[in-house]
Amino acid sequence: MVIRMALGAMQTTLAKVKGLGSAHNGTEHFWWQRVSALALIPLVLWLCFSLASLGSSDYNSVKNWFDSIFNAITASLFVVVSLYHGQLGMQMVIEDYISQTSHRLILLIALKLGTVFACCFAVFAIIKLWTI
Amino acid sequence: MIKSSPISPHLQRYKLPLNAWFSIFHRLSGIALFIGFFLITILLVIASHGEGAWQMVQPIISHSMSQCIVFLFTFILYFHLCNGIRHLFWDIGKGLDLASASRSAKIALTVAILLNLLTWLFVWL
Repeated sequence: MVIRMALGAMQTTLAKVKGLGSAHNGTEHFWWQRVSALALIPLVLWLCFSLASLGSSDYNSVKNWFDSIFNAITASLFVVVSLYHGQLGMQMVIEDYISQTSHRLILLIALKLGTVFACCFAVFAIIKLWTI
Repeated sequence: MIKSSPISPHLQRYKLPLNAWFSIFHRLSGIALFIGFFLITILLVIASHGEGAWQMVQPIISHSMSQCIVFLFTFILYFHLCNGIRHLFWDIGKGLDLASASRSAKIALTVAILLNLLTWLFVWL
């Protein structure tokens, strides 16, 4: 309590209002990881059935499968939500195990950019498969 | 140095409890799935390039070895799903005591195995 009061005396007014302390950010990471996890529950069930049934398929069955607007939209949703959830998790892994600040920063930037790249590639591939 | 003196519970010495193993495998399965989704993205891009491109990878995908990997992949996915649901219950403050946590660990693993078997049986039949 004494430490808290002493800290409060040294903090700027803005820092007091934000009330985040030395962590610099709040509960957004935790919260959105849980929300995306909820969204992924039905999507994972759908994906596992799709993966199991698509596995050995020839080109025409893959194309026919993506011709369905339901499959195309659900696949896009899955790509966006799962990569988002995955990069939140990978961010936590990097932050836990990479202690050197420069390495950590480079890996985190690579992770964020790589995920956005993969996301765009996958969604555009799905749209193309649906249209052709 | 007395050999029988107690040592600190270092990870390599300490017998990890069931829930610790599940926690480790939850993280490991998450990493495996993230890598797997990048591979799936590559496959999607190849498929979108048309029949010629797809025919180059199709023998690799339909190989029995690849099918085993896909079987393992869906199991890892189901495991991460079921164990993740345990985490969601803990987040609302339910099942946090040791007995409940150990029970839910066993339930999660059993359900994951059953879901995976059901999925593949459904496809094969």
